[in-house]
Amino acid sequence: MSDTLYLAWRYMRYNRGKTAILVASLALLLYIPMGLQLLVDRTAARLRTRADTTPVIIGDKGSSLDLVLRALYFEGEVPAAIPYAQVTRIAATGLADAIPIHARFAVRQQPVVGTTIDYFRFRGLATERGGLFTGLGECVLGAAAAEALDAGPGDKVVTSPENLFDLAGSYPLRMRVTGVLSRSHSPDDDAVFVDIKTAWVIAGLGHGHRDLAEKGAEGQVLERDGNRITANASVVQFNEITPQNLGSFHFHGDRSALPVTAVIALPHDDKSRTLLLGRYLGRDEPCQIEEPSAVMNEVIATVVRVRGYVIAVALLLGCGTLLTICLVFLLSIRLRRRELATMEKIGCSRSLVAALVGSEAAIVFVVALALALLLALLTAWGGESLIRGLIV
Amino acid sequence: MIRIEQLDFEYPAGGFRLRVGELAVQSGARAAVIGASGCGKTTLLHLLAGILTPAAGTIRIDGREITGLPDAERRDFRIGTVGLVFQEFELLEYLDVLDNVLLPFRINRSLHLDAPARERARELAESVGLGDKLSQPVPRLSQGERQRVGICRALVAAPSLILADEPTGNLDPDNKERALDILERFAADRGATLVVATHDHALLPRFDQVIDFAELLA
Repeated sequence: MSDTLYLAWRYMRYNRGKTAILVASLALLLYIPMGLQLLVDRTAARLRTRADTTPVIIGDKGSSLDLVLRALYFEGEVPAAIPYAQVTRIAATGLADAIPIHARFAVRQQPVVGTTIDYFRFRGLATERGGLFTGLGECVLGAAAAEALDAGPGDKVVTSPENLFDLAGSYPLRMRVTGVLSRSHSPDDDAVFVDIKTAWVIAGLGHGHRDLAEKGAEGQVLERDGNRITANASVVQFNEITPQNLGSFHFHGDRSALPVTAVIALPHDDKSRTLLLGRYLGRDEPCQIEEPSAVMNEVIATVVRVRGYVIAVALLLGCGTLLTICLVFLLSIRLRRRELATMEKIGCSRSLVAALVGSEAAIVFVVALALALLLALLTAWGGESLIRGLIV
Repeated sequence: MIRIEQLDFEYPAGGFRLRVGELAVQSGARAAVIGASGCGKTTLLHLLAGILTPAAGTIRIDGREITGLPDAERRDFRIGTVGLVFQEFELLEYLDVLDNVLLPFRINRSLHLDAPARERARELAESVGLGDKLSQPVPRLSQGERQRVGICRALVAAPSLILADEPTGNLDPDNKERALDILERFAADRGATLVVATHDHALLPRFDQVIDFAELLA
């Protein structure tokens, strides 16, 4: 280490409190625009990637942002459901394949996504352990979800009630894990995938219960009228689907009316895409059709605009901070006038005195820059969910 | 040998002027400079060290005329030839004892901070009773110890001229004697010239030559 740097280092070490405040101020000054730029760029890139690989989404006529965020990232407000008939409607057009998404429930913090096997093919997802679900009451975990739930093939996970105080709401369903997906570095990693019918069971739209016609069920019968049996309040509803009770599970009403959050449409070509978009432009059309890339570009444009304002404000504040830091250095030199004069008396040149003070400033700047870079990297690493949280 | 002829100095801001007709101090001599406060003792020492330059006149140290030297050469002369001791020690509180002693090596490129220099600094500190305090921060030292550090710093580059400005002014009687003993011992060992500015007339018998400002400026 050069003598000048050594003396500067010793001075700063001795005055570590003052130095720490200077470094922290400067690091924040450098970090805010740098971190924001990095965060927004990386987030925008990742949001775009997911959106660009999802051609078209159909959902309820409400917030297009809520629809896209829920269908792509399984986050944010749950949009109003549309009937499953929309899935068959799209398939019937012959213009696109349709994949239903019902993303309303959760297993602790992990979103439960009801869909079909086609979804895994579409996203290029494969299992790392075990296999995909094959029936009712089974689930496949994303890599991060498996870690968070500490579960793997053969384990059981239980859905969380939406509202503890809503007795009419969905009841927890215990599901068997059939497999864990390979990490895809996408929102799929955090999800618990189930068959769309399992999602309806979680919603309470399908259920299984003890056959009241069988022997020993008399205590749960309220009334018998020929073949018609009315159960009393003590009837047991199953909270787990097993090979033994699988046959008792059924859905009431028209299946085409059962809900889905969104439908991902995969047009066969550009022409099909255009035609499909046109089909949903009618005023009486109850659904909206969205191109996720367009929706996300709008969001990103807003974020970028806000970033511009924040950076402008940060620069103004930064100028103030920088001037204050300069003032601190100047006052420090004034306070050290006697010490610096002694050095000159002993034989130190003025240029070396200047180099000494300059070295102190340089050390503060380098350490602050390193700290700011570290913070920026941490932000880029863990900040995407933060900014998505802010959007949501 | 120090030789001053027709020296005329005035601070740029004015207010104080120092004129010395003739003054000589033999090499290896111990000289005391006495006089009332503000009479110019410190100014004279700074002129001898080449910190200040006179408007007129000459100062020769061991035959070398220093008043005409450019700044850089005067600095090199100072660091290589002159050891300065201050009344208020002027130590850097953020350095430990050893680093304070070695300071001249760190602030002037004409001196090289090598292993022998470090060894010399250690020996010097040990010789003044600071051997066990080399890594102590200066604020933890007593007044007497601080002045001994200041003396070691002045002597570490083995100067041939030691200029001490009121070196005992802030010390108790024991430390006063000890500080002067160190300076005298070093000067005697190295054959260096010692010039001490002091108010303390009780110390004068220790010196070969007394330069009284009252007579010098008369």
